[in-house]
Amino acid sequence: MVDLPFALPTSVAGIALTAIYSENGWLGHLAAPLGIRIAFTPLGVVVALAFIGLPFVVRTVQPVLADMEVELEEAAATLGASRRQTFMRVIAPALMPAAITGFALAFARALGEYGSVVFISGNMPMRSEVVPLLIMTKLEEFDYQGAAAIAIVMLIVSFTMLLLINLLQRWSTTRDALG
Amino acid sequence: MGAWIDNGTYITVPNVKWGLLYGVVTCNARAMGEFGAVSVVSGHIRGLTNTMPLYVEILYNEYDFSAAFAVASLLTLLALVTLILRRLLNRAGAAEFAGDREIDTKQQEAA
Repeated sequence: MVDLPFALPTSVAGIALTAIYSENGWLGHLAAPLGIRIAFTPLGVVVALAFIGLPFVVRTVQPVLADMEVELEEAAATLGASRRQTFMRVIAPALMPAAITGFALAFARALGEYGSVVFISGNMPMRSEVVPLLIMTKLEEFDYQGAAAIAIVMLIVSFTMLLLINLLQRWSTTRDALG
Repeated sequence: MGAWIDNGTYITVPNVKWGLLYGVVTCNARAMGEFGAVSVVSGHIRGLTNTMPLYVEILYNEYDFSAAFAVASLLTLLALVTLILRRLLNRAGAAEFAGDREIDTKQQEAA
């Protein structure tokens, strides 16, 4: 089930999330009385990107969590650590490289995400527009230079992310080797 | 040259077949759902260069919600089939790997 966002076409995710989070949707009508609008606001974009990015984080953190020995927690407990301390001082530091890598992967994906966001954001100018949508708008206006300019900025950001992810993965493997 | 081809068809491909199929299925899922790249390149001309995810958007923008959700449901079904296939292929690959290991240990014991 965690892999569903991988396999599900993004436009399907977008249309479904929009239906669920719009003001008369299953979850949207619960948030509406509280004065929170989710669909067609920047919050909606966050929800869509969280849905798309979740499997990246889960799939990177899960193996590390599964490999972690119970003895580690037990040792912490025998040394007088509370559950909270065990989590904060023992488990969380060990998970950190994997969690950051997962976050970076999800972030890289979110940067270029178009299909799902285009539905839920409502594409309000200067409020809930995403960069891929801006490129698309420029292309439709035959403003190829503008589109290319935005695309180059995105390209640079993507390359930086890629470099960062590679460095992070190297860091996490060396940490695993040490631990 | 002949050995090269034989190596490919009789040794490499049978060894990696589950992994290869897994890759094909994953790749197909991504291609089926791809939106942004296809939207820019194809120009989404109806009945000519349109794909299902793009069709969902077109129908949605025309306020034809039931049709949009019908197409989306079809795509969801395909996604579920993909997930099941992936799980089966993964299991088949793992089972074969385990089988190989068993044979290896038996051979080692015999030696």
